[in-house]
Order: sequence, then structure tokens, then C-alpha cells
Amino acid sequence: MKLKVTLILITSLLLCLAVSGIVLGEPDVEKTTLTITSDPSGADIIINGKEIGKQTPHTLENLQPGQQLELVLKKPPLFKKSVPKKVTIKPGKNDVFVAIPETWYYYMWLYLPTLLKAAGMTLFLTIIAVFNGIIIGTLTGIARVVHNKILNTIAGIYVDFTRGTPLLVQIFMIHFGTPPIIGHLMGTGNPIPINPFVSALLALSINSGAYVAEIIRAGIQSIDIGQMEAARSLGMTYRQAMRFVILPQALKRVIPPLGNEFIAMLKDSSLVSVIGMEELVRRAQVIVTRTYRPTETWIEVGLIFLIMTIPFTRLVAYLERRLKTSD
Amino acid sequence: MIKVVNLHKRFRHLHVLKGISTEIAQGEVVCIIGPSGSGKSTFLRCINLLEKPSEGHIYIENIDVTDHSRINVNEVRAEVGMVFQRFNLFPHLTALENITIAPIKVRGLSAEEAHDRAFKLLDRVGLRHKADAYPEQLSGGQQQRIAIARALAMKPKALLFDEPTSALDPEMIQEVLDVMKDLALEGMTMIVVTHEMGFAREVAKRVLFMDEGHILEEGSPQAIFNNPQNERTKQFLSKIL
Ligand SMILES: Nc1ncnc2c1ncn2[C@@H]1O[C@H](COP(=O)(O)OP(=O)(O)OP(=O)(O)O)[C@@H](O)[C@H]1O
Ligand SMILES: [Mg+2]
Repeated sequence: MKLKVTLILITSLLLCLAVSGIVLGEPDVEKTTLTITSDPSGADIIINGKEIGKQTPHTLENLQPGQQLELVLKKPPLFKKSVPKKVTIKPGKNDVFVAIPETWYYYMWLYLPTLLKAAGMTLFLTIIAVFNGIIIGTLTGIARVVHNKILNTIAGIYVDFTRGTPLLVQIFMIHFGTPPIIGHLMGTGNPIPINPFVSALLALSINSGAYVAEIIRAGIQSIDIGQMEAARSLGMTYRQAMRFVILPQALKRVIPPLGNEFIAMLKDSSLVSVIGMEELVRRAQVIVTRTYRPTETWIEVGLIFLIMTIPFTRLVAYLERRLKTSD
Repeated sequence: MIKVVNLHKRFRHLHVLKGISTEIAQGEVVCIIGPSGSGKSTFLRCINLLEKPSEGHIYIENIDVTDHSRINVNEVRAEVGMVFQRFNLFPHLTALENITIAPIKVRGLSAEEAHDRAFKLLDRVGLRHKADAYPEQLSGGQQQRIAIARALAMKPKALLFDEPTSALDPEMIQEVLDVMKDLALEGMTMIVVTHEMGFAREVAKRVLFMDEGHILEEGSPQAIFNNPQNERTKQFLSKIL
């Protein structure tokens, strides 16, 4: 009886051992892996100085826990290598994410389309502003030279005021200063906000008008007084003399300085970025707040401005030379 | 034809003309001589109202042109042509356009009429072949001849010349004087400020000597040049002859 109990005990013990033996005999150890991802993906993986011929994303297997790797990612030709990263393998699944920085030129290339589009807005603003400026300025410039005290005074005040205050202040005055007035006039009591595009165009046109007026006035006054006398001596009225004799000559002389005004306005138009008008400078500011790469961004903006202005500076220089020879 | 009575001109405090009185008959050629600053140009400019007389009267064909309430200044100027020392051609227009612009814009001639008239005048000053030239392409003498044609195109009743040959190189003076001589022969009424004594002797019916805003002496060229009475006239002539 005692033997029987012992036998059962031993058998069950062996059974237990057998069962556990089945489980333990093949111990189910978790595989140790390393998954490498990167931004941007598709980078060559270099481990401990050796290219392994694989690209991200990629999973390395059969690693030993505790193993140490030095990982570098490379994405030719426009990116930099990633900073080397030391990875100590833990048992089980490992993940590593590596950001590969762009080179400065790739960064610039990436943002070029966005910036060029914004430069288009800058150019558009400038062209419209100077066009308006030429219309306002021609009328004002003539108003400054005709023999009419009232016109002289009005035109003089406009020109002095505009040239004597910063463009930035004019932009603020129009964008922030006039909405309450409009609101008041419309009887709502609340300011009526102006679209930044409208404010920008208004401010730049008014500003340009004053500078063009001075150019036109100088152009008219540069014409020899003998021209006016000859025209008048033939019986032309002041108006006819202006229209057929003085202005055609003045307008020719005025073209190079108008070119300079265009160049100046192309640059000064960047000030409208302060009221949120999405032109080149404003766009660049937004990009910088996202990428934290001010150096490349602002250099690129500067270059875009240069590319826009240089043809005009050359053209103006050419016209000035041609005018000088024909005088 | 032109009658000037007690003409004064002041520029602020500068009294330039101090009571000029004279009369110029139809077809008469009068030369004005005198030292620099004596008011010769100012006198001419008053006659076609480029300067506003301060006092006195100017009658052109018996119409008082200083009476601004009744006179259109532009119409007066259209009737009295002026030729300037420095030509004052319009540099942006061709010779032809210089001549036609005023007849078209002021007299209302058609382009065709104005062209006909201009080509006749170009023939008269011998510059038909320069019709399409711009002033900068012409010599000084040619420019002055175009300027004369330009003044003539308005068919003026009188022509005023303010030292028309003073800005010219010596070899170009004669061609301009020849044109002026022809005009005189055709009976144009002319007042000429000039230092060309030969021209004055030959063409002028009368010479006025001006000094410090007065007409000090006037008479035939022979009388003035050969036998001046006034001390100032003698002094002046001794300097330039
Ligand atoms: N627009 C003006 N304003 C002020 N003074 C003037 C003006 N025009 C002429 N004068 C002055 O009037 C005076 C006479 O000038 P004007 O030109 O008539 O002399 P002129 O006899 O023609 O001299 P010139 O032989 O040098 O041409 C000069 O003292 C001149 O400075
Ligand atoms: Mg003079």
C-alpha cells in the first residue's frame, strides 16, 4: 500500500517533470530586433562605420541584447549625414528614429517655390502701387508747377506729409487708424476692419504717388525755360505748351528716376508684412517660425529680392546712359 | 503798326524799362543796339507779352494789348513772332513738326495745310532736305533758320529777333542774316536786337540805341553809326566797331 502511494507520487512527479520538460525544453525566448526609421526615409544605413546595403525603414534581426551599435544614416546627395547615434540593444524589440537634416541648399530648394510665389505677390503689389503712383504723381507733380496757389498748396501738403513720415507709420495709419473712422462714418460705432491687401495697396500707392510727384516736378522744371517761352510766343496756351512741348520732354527724362522709384518700392513694399499681408517677407517669417532656420531663409529672401531688382537697376543705368548721349 | 507809349517794366525793385516810347511802321525794320543789361530783351519780350508791362501801353494795329480786360494774350502772341538767341527749337520734334505744331494746335490748320505751308517755308530758308531731322542733328545756323520758319508759319504781323546770331559760330551767321534780309525785302515788319552792324546798316530803316532802360538815341543807320550825337552812344559804338 505504502509502495503504491509512493509509485503514484513518483509517476505524477515524473509526469509533471515531463510536462514541464516539454515547455521548458524548448524555452520560448523573445527575438531581439532593431527597427530603424528616418525622416526622410530611404536613407542608407551605416552601422559601426560599415554600409549594410539597406535603406530605411529596415528591421535588423538576431541581435544580442546588450550589444552596442553606432548608427549613421546617409541620404545622398542633397542631405547631410545624420548625427551618429549610439544604440544599446535591449532584449526584445528596439526602435530608433533618426531625423536626417537637409543641407542648406536642399532646404533653400525645398522652400523656393513657396517663396517665389510670395515674391510674385511682392512684384504684383509693387507694379500696381507704382502704376497708381504714376497716375497720382503725374497729376500732383503738375499741380505743383501750375500757376495756381490752391493746387500748389494742396499738392505740396500731400507730398510733404507723405515724404516726411515713415511708410510704416502710413501703413499703420491706414490699416489700424482708419477702421474706427469708417465705422464712425457708417454709424456702427464699431471699427470696420480693412483687408490687409487693400490697406497695403492704398498705403503703397499713396506713398509712391508723392515720390513720383517730386520726380515729375523735377522733370518739368529741368526743361529749359526757353521751351515754354518759345511755345507761348507761338500763341500756345499754358495748357497746350505743357501738353505738346514740356511734358513730352519731361516724361522722357523722368523714365530713369521712375525706374529707381520702382526698385525702391519693390524693397519698401516688404513693410506691409507687418499688417499680415502675405508677401515675400511675411511668408519667410512664417516659414522661419516653423523650421527654425532663419539663416538660410533670409539669405534666400535676400537673393530673390536681388534677382528681382538687378534687371531694373541695369535697365535704369542703360536708360540713363542713353539719355545722357541724346542730350 | 506797333506803337509803344511810355512803357515801364519793373522786376520787384529793379526798374528795367523807364518809359520807352516809339512807333514802328508796317514793313519797317528796326534794329536795337545797346550795352548788356540795358533792357533790350525785356523790351522785345514786353511787345509780345512774354513779360507783363508794369506801366504804359503797347498798341498793335491800334489795339491796346496791355488792356487785359479786352485782350487774349495768346492771340496777341500768335500775331507777333519771336526768334530767340538760343533758337529754342523743340528737341523732341523734327524740323517739320517744329514748324507745323503751332499752326495745327493754335490756328487749327489741318495737318495737310500745315505741311504745305511748312514746306514752302523750308524752301524759303533752304532746308527742305532737313524736314525730318531733329534739332540736335542740325547746325546752329540751320536751327536758327528752322526757328525763323517756325515763327513765320503763324503768319505773324511782325517778327521780333533777340540777338539771333549771337550764339552762332561766325561761319553760320551769314546764312541766318541772309534769310532775315530776304524777309525784310518782302516787307516783313521786324524788330531786331543785334550787334551785327553790317546787317543794321544794310537792312535797318532805323536804329534805336538803348541804355539803362531808355531809348537814348534813334535815327537812320548812317546817322547813328557815322554821326552819333549822344555821349553814351559814341562810347558804346567805339567799343564794338
Ligand atoms: N525775369 C527777370 N527777373 C528779374 N530781373 C530780370 C528779369 N529779366 C531781366 N532782368 C534784369 O533786367 C535787366 C535787363 O535785362 P535784359 O535781358 O532786358 O537786358 P539786355 O539788354 O537784353 O542785355 P543782354 O545784351 O545781355 O541780352 C538786367 O539787369 C536783368 O538782370
Ligand atoms: Mg538780351
